Amino acid sequence: MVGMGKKIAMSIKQPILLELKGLSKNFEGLKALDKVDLTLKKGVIKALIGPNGAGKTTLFNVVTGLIKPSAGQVIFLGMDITGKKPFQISKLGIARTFQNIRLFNNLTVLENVMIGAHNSTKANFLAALFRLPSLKEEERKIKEKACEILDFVGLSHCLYLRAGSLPYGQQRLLEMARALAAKPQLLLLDEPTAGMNLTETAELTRIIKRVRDLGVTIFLVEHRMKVVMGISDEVAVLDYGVKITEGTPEEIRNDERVIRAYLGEKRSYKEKELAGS
Amino acid sequence: MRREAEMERRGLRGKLIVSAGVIVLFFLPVLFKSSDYVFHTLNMIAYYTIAVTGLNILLGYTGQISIGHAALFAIGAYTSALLALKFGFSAFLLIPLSGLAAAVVGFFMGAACLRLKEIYLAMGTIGLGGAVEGVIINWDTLTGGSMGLLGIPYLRVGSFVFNTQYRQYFLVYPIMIFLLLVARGIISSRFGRAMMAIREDAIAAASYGIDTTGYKLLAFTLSAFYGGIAGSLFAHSTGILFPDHFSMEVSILLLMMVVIGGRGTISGSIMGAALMTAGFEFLRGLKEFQMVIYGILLVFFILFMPQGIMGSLLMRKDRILLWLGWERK
Repeated sequence: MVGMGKKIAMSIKQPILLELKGLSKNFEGLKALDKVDLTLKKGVIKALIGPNGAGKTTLFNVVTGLIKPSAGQVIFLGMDITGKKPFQISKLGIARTFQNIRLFNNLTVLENVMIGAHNSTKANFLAALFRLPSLKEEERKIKEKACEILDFVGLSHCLYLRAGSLPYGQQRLLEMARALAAKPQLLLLDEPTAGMNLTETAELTRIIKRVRDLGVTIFLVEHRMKVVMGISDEVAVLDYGVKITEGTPEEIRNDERVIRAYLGEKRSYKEKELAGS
Repeated sequence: MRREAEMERRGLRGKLIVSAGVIVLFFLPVLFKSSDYVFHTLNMIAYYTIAVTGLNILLGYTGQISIGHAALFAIGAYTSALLALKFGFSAFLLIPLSGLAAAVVGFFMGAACLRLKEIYLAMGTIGLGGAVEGVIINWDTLTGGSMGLLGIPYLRVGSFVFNTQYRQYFLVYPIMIFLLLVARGIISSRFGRAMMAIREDAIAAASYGIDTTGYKLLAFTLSAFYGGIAGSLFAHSTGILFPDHFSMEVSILLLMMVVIGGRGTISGSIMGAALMTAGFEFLRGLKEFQMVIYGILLVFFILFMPQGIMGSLLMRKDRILLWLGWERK
């Protein structure tokens, strides 16, 4: 069992990939994030859960540089990347997908993935102006790589379709492919299975695991408990911008505070559903 | 992979057809011993094609609107005219220098407008375009003001002077074709992909390592360079320059050419420029009433054909090829 091997390897000391120290973000008095400390070890799948409006996407936006934090630090590979621009952070090896899909709709599926590989292209302006052989060679390589990745996620049948014309589930897969093309060390997935049916969800779960096995660290926000409990090595819980707890899926499942955050003070039958799934 | 090979073969055939078409079209007017008037019109098409290609890089590919593009046309034209009048440079120097002058101005225009989007960007560029026009009118010791700049010499290389429209045709068209190829080179490279990514979704683009600020500036600068070269060629062809040549109306005309031809297609730039210029010549008798027709045309295109002529054709490329019998199912 590869999974078991991974779990054992993880309990031994793994180098830290991402570290958030006292991360806070205020939106006009609303505390979207409140002194969040979090660490992500290399090679794990970590889930970030919490009720709607808990600040999960805000946390992702801060890590990827789309939003500047009000206080605190983001440390990636021992380097302080707080306040760096999104494109600079991307160049360091962090890729992400978006909760509300953000594809390049009018470009083809293939072009979307090739843009994902932007960081690994180096052709200079002169080479592009005159279409020098070095450029053509690089283009060919990127195209090949993009086709491989599309094959990996199962989209190789629609290379030349407009990205915006794909069905919803496939758009999510395409976002995943585009992120993989960036060859990330850390992959942030913001609700990757939202709006997917059960078959698609199972397929995506399988892909996420395979990506982890390729050595990519994965940080995901997810609402479906079945997915979270099934694939994560660690789970952190956010509520009103505060990290209330963190641990293995089993620990989280039975944590009083988590149940309270999701279901409120009064317990209901939904609690059983959460515990049981 | 078979599909790849098929695409390559088809691409090669397409290239051959296009190259043959270009050569035939180029020599057609020469063979028919056309009049100076025909060559004048053809040359106008080329100036507009160059300027519209530039604007298309900015508007069609990068998604940044500019309603001040006539200003860059003006910078190129006046730079070229003044350098020729004062120093008597040859065409080899004048054309690139006027492109560069416009590129510098375009860079700063872009920098000034970086934080503006959509309608605000449109207004910002109108303002900057108006500012350039204002400078031209008021700095009359240099530019001749509203009296215009007269007696601009023809372009020359060594002792050869491009003093007829027929001669200019052989200068203007190779330059245009070269610039179109360069534009295509940029568009089909990582630079073009980055620009299109910004047009489609700037946030996603930035999240994938694309420096949106840098690429927007690049697009502004490049499109200004094209505008400047078009201006230079235009100035030496007409021999006189007035601020009226570069008013906001001209900016809007360029914009219309992009929209009607097809945003985000290089062939659309040619189509837009050719159709509108030819239209001007045919409808010359209507004078100001022409604008009514163009207005209606623009509304028609925005409502029913927002991709423009070439955009719509390219979208239906496979179906059209099938209809022509070039493609087997």
